[in-house]
Amino acid sequence: MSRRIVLAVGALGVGVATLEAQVPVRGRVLAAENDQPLAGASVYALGARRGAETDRHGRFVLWLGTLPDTLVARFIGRMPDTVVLDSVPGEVTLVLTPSAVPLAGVLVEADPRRPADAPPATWSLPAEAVAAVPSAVEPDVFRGLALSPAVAYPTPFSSQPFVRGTDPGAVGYRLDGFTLINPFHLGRIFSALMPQAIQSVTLALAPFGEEFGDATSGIVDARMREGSDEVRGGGQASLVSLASWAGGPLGRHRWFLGGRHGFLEHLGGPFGEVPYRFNDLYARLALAPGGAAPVHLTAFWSGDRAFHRETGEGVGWYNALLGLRVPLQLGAGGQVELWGETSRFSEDVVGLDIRGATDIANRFSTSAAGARLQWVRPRGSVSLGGEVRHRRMRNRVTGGDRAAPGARSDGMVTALTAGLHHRAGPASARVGLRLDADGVVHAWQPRIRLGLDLGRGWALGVAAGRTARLYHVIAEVLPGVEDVASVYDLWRPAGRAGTPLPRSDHALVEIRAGRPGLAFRAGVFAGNLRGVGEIRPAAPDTAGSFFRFGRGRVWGADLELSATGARRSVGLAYVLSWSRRRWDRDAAPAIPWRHDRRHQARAFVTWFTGRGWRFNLLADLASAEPITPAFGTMELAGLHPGEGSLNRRAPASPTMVLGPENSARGGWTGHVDVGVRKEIGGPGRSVGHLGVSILNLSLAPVAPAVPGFSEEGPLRVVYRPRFFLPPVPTVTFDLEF
Amino acid sequence: MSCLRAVWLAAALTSCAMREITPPPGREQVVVQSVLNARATVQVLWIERTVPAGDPVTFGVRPLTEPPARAEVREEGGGVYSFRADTANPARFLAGFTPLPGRRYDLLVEAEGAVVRATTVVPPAVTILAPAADTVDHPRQSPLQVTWASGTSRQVAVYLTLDTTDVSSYVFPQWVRDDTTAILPGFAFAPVPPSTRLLWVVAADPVTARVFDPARRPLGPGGEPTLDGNVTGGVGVFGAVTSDRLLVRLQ
Repeated sequence: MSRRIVLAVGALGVGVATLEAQVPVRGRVLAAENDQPLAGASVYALGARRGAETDRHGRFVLWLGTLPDTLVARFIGRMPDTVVLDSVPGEVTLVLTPSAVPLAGVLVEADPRRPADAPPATWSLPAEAVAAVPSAVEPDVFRGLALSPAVAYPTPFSSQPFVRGTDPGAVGYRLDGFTLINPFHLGRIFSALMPQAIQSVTLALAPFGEEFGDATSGIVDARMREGSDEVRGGGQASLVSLASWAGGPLGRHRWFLGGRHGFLEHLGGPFGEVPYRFNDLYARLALAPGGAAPVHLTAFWSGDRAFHRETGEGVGWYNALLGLRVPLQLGAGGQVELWGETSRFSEDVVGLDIRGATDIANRFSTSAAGARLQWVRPRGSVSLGGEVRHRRMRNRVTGGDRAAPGARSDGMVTALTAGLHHRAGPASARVGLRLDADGVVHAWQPRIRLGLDLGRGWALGVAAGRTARLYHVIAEVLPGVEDVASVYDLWRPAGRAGTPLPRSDHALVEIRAGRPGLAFRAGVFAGNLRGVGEIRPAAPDTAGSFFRFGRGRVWGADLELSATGARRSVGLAYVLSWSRRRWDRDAAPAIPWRHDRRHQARAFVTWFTGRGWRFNLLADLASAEPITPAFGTMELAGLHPGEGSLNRRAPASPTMVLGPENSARGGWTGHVDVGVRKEIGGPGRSVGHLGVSILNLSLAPVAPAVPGFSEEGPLRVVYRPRFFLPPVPTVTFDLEF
Repeated sequence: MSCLRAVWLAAALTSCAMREITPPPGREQVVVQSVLNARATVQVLWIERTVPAGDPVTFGVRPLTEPPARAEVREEGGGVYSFRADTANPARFLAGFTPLPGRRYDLLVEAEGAVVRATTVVPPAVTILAPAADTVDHPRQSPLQVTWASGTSRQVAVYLTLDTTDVSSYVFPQWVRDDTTAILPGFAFAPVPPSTRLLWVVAADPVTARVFDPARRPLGPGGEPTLDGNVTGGVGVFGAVTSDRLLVRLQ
């Protein structure tokens, strides 16, 4: 024991001696085309053999012992930039120009940062990559998340992602790091984030960094565009919307504004009686007072409205977000970030036949203020954070014969975080701890991530930890409705009225390799989910409350391989996974989760044919989802108050007799989506794109099955597709100046 | 172009491979249906077979191919009552006993290789409080309000039948949850003759209410009505009711 202490003290002494001889070098990494900060870029000192990663403001701090040295900044899809340091500069700026290499989404794994520092199970996708994924109805950032094999969708129509066998409600959404509550349009067929307003999007799977809370399976964090040093903008037209955006300088400050308007309400036909409109507004200001690091202001609003002109029946909802982030310097290697946010979601459903003639008034609002301190040292960093949040949620579901129970919750929530990052030789370790607490329930969440450079471009990543959320987001699931479009969520505060705390323990191991033109990643993962919840399905032996809660287990392995050439890029991914649940009691039998797909294979191809033509293809094939089979039918007797109670005098309509829940499998699903883009213009001039894409080129009703009664011939139980997926065309034209 | 051709071929093969959906095979099961009636001296049990999935649906009773080896109800702390076949209907079985409110009863049926079990607890007695008399005179075109006491029972069906003996006419009850009052609209009394009606207030246990209240009947994954019963080893429902009644003479 004493020997270990001596060694530790000795190592500390060496560290201190090294520290005294070093100086911090600060800098920023910017995108060449618009001077926007690049978050997640790697900066590497060739002489010192030391690297750093930029924060969300594009900033980095590197401790160097000797000068001169050479810094190299890299980011996926961009040419590296190099700067030689002869002396300690005030601030280094590295500017990365977009690379001529076509972007396949899986290429993000080829990011040649210091491999051990790259967080495992994290995908950083530039806007160009997500925009290359063929869209449905509208260009969509969330549909582009299909570039990660960890992401799947409840149906091919949906853009609401779920990750690695966990519920869609377990994913948390952020815009510039601020809370987005429900950023979707039109039954979640497409999201409220259009690629033209986004610089990049990061998907971090659990156990993600301790700075993230309010999610148990993954975080989707989109970064909005910033204005550049000259005014630039553009416009886009699609079959259902018009969009425009612009950004530029205002003195030392930068601004960006964007908007999208769905114009279906102005059309006649079926939209005459029920006008559907949707709008998105994006705004970002980067205020640079006196040469200090810019203060960022993010504003976002999106809304949908579809109410019958005469009856007033319909649905409407909106999202609103305002966030402020103030980065400050604190001494030689210290950084402070102060931030505040307020985010609201409001949804009204009037008279829709969801659970009978149901009226719904859902309200969710949250406001928070927080600070994060970080001290960067030569071999790592230490960070501390805290936030105080007020959260208010209301579910009011009234009317109808199967109305859901409501929820009402107000209160303050506190979160404290601490993190330690340390590098030693080829190894890198991040240890974090997060505490979320409200007046009733609290959750400690330790998280650890380890990285190891194996040489020759190979790296190993290991992560384990706990994630929790102090409330549930439970998607309404209704036969025949939610198969296609998701209508609304129900929120349940945890730790009250028999509602357990949702918390998950995750562990994963992945190995990565990146070489010019080739990238590889393979991983295994497992998760133990506690306090998962869902709406109790209508199935035999499931009497009881409206919701059900239980435990779950997910495990599996995934594989990615991508190859990139000068004109073509191909990415292949395969996932083998299991996801099971035990409902109501620990001793209950484990049954497959409703989206438990054993196999999933995906291919993404980008092909530049020259003269501005670009073809994109996404093919997705998934094995059958579980279904609850029908054993047969029976006739229900008539209940009569007279003598005997039950009689069978009159024939009754057949009643379905279902088998054990999720004990059978339906059909495989698959779709092939294609997109074609033609670029007009070029460098130094305005650039236009004409895009045509088709979701599901295969023209087949590919879908899992559900039991139902035949509609032709003699009445019998048959299995029919849960939904029909027609080809969905999308046409867009955009012009950027 | 070879790349494009490969893509089209893959898409076509994908379409063909997934156009067919193979359903799990259907399975014939024993169906038991019984709702114990605390007002009756003879209890009824229906034992039938399901129509397997994939077979054409036939209407009417589907009796067992062989009589059940055992069909009985065991009373909590009490006797065992065996059901015997009704000579008038091979799917109907009768047992002579009167269940008691608050008492638990266990059903056991052994038939066609299946052992079917279910349990129910008879709900507390229900009493009509208003109108207080057993027989009331009531204007034909006016609504009638009825109030009752049903102990801990939360689900009550209110029936209006033609007379005391004819139970063949199909009547739709008005299901009431978490309340002790119902108003029967005037049009329910309109048809003539006869000039008398029986108003029943039936307190049901949870499974009976869940199965027989159309508004609460669950829908399956395809949106079809399904059974949410309480029977193991087969399918069906084993519930219990108590009831009170009122004779209404229409004016």
